[in-house]
Amino acid sequence: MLEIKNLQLCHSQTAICQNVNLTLRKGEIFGVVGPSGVGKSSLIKAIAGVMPLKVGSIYWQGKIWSQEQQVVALEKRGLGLVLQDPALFPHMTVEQNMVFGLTSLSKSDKQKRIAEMLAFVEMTGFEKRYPHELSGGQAARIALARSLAPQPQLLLLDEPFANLDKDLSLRIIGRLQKLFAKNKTSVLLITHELKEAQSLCNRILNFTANGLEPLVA
Amino acid sequence: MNYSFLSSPKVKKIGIWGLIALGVLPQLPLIISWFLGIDSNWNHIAEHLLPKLLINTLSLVLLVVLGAGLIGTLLAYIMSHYRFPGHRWLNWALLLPLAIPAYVMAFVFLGWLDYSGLIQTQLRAWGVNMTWDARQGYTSLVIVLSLMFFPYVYGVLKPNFERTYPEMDIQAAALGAGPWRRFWRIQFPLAFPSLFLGMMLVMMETLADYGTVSIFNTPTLTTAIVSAWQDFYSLKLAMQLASLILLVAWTLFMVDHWVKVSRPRVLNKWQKITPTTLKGYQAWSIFVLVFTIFSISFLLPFIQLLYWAIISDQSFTDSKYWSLTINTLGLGLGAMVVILSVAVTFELLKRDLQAGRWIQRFSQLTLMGYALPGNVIAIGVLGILIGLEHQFGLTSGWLSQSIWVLILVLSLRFFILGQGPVSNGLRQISPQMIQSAKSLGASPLRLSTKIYLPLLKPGLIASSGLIFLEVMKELPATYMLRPFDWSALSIYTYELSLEGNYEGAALPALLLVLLGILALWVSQRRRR
Amino acid sequence: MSLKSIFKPLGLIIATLSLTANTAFVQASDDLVIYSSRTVNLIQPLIDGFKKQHNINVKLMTGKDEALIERLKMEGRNSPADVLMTVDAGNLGLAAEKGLFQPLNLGPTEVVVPAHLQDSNGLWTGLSLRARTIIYNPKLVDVKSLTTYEDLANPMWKGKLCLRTSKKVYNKSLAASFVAHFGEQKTLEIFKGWVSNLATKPFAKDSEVIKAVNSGQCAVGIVNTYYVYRNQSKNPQSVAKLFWANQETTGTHINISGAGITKYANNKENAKLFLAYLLSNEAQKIFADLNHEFSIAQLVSKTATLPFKADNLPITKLHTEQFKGVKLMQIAGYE
Repeated sequence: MLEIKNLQLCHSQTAICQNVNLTLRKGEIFGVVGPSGVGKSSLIKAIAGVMPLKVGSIYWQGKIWSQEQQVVALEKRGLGLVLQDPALFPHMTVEQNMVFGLTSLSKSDKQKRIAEMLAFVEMTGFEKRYPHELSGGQAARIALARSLAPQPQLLLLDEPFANLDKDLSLRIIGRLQKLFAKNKTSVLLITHELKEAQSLCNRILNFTANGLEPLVA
Repeated sequence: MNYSFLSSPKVKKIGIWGLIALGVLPQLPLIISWFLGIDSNWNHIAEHLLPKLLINTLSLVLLVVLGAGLIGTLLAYIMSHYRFPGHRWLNWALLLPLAIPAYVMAFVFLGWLDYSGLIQTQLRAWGVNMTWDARQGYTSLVIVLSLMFFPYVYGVLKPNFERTYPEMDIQAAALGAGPWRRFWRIQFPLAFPSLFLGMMLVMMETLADYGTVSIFNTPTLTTAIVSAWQDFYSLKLAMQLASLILLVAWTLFMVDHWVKVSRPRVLNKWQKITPTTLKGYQAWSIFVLVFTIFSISFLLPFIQLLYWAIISDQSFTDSKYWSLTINTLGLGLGAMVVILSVAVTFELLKRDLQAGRWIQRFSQLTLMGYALPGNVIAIGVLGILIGLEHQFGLTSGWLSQSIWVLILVLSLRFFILGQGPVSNGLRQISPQMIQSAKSLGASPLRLSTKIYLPLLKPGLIASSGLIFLEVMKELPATYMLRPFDWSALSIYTYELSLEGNYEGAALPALLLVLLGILALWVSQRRRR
Repeated sequence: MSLKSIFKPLGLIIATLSLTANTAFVQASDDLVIYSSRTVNLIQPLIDGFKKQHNINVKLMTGKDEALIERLKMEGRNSPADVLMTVDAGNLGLAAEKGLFQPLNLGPTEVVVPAHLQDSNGLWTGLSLRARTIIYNPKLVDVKSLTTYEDLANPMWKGKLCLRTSKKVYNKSLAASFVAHFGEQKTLEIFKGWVSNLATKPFAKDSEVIKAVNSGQCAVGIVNTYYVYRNQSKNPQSVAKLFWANQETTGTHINISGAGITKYANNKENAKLFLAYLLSNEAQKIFADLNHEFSIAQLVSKTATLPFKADNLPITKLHTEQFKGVKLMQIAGYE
């Protein structure tokens, strides 16, 4: 269970601060929508612990993750993260990118998992390619597969489908639903496409100047 | 004059192969030497000299690359990630050791460290008897060479450390990689091509070094080339030994090619890192560390030279120093003009013809001169030119004994310093950019002055400084090929130091260093 | 494309540079051209003296021995050089062997060079003498214990000997003289003995050997004498002293600086004048004064004699036996 208490996200330019409170239980999939520039990406960075916070605290499974002056390092959180920038490691092949997070698996399990995940994002056959040989959309799919591969209990997704065409996104979303249900993954999806959120999430929140509010349809 | 014939692809193709042929010229005699039969002294050499030579050469190259690599990497990291008092000037002052010729550095260091040197003499006067022999083993030689050459690593690596790609680091952490693994698996491999380039320069400089190792009397392949010539009077043997160096250089270039192929392409998302401003004792201890390295590698040797120059019998006001300085500058200028204009022509031709694999491969060979000792290139080119003179019945010296041969040889030796920056600069100019400029009706002249020149300028300036620096310091080829009654600072320094008159040699050496500082300043001006 | 605009200014630069540079090589035909491995400051006063007497213009190119010889060989018939001046009989012998010289036929000269100090075929002549002998630190060595070069191979000198690198031609010639006097077997033993007696690895320069003897790093060394004289005039407090080696036996090893007229000299007569000048009493004095060398005049004159007994081995042996000597030094591990 992820708990965000009293988190204050402040914009450096506008000096407007939002107060965020959120509880995300096991297996729950929340969508966060809202106009661009409102600070959705900052929310994800705060949860990932790569942005220092001044006020508020974040708990995972009852243990403190972040509060002022105290941060558990990102690599110890065991969460999955997909940012807008796919940020594939440019010196590694697709395969090597995907295996990066799979340190605890045996060699054959690694192979199996990679094959599975590539099929999942419909990128089978691209194992030996380098990132610079991929299109933007292909890179985004590999980034998604790379984050899914270690089967994290908490997954933070920031516009993962932005570069994909509609049909493909729908097919992947369909598979994601099954996968999340099977693994009981907690997911926070940030998107500007309400439809995406509606098709994947249990609950949709609107991120406004006042913080997170249930979306009034 | 009508230049339109230059536009024909056929002419361009001939041109590019002609330039490649010129570039590999100095390597031909080395290869040909093997077809003249095995030299009769090979048995003797292989039995009594070669094992030691190879061990010395390989150990030195490896140890120096390690030493210079460590110092250079450490400094590049510190200077890119931290700000502290003195950072601004140290930032470029750390390149200054390049301004001191290696052989000068060697006699300065021995002047301090040897048994009869300053330090041990003083210690004995205080009753402390040191048993350390500075010339024995590799230690001080490796230290001297590492201090000389670390700026190559520092210079190429620092820009790499100054940028970051935060998303990638975050991703790696999210996938469970701690700081250590992130450094070794992500940051280090991404900086590696630059590190390797720096290390390759260090390796080639070490391979080609003659001055330093001969002052330490440590036999290496390079000194063996000279003694094959001096002791056995066999140029063939010298060439055959030199081809071993060529072999090492070829291998290095192949590895470099492989490193470059696996190098990440166009990453436009780099951001400048925000350096940490250090305060208090942290700031001071870092300053002391960096300043110490700077002092040992430049400041103290510089002061020593200054002191020697003052107490020596040589005087600045002597008119010969004027002509020596002018000659040195002229030589640097000549080589610079030749290297840069050939490099630009060469790269433009390559690009124009969309050079295929063979042209690319062979053009790599033109860079090999950097690893070859100057005298090897000099004697090869001299042989070819004198052959031409005989062939065409020209007055002797018309080709072979002119400043042009010297400039040609130095250009062949240091071509890599021009080619690299020019090809990097051209990569920023996309063919589309040229197309659209042309479609707007830009004339060739406008095209060069408005597009090529401004975009190439930073690279050209940086490399002209480096070319100047290297050409001024170069000794063996300059000494062998200079025309009558013509001398330069490097030659005069050498001639004075020949008989151990280091005080006298200090003045021309000092002038060399000052010109070197100037060249470095020019080459770094835009970056600061 | 823009190549045109590159070529135009480039052509202009090259044209102007060529014009300015080539003027430097226009060479009056009666200029005397000298290739020399002696550095400028050691040869210029002699050239000045010659110019004053004969009003002949001289062009000088200094370089390393092997480079100058190779160059002469390559240039062949077209060579601009008239005279090759080098130090060490080995280099002169090599040039002669490669057919780079023509017979001198100098005729009578003021100072007459003895037969053993010139080429047997009259292709080159010695001009000045350089002695290579033992230097010692009187604080560490009883002068009575010094005798010969060979004796420095004796185990009693273990850890006390300093040498210059075997790559230096002075040592190569010394080695050649050993081969000539003692034969290869004995010579190899001497070198092996030397190597095992070394106090530190061989130095790059004679001046460093002198420093090392002065500072006590080693007790004895072998150097050319003029370095010692030069050092004494610069550092009067230095303690190192010369010992004339092999006075009871073969005599102290000497080498020469010398010259020959190139085979294809354009100015043979001027070249002869130059060499004759170098063998005049005036020039011989300059030789001796300039570099603390010994003149041939000192050797042959009845009044001002050499301060030691010189080896009177035919100097051509330094060339003919040098190759053997070098190999023996390398086999003995003398670096």
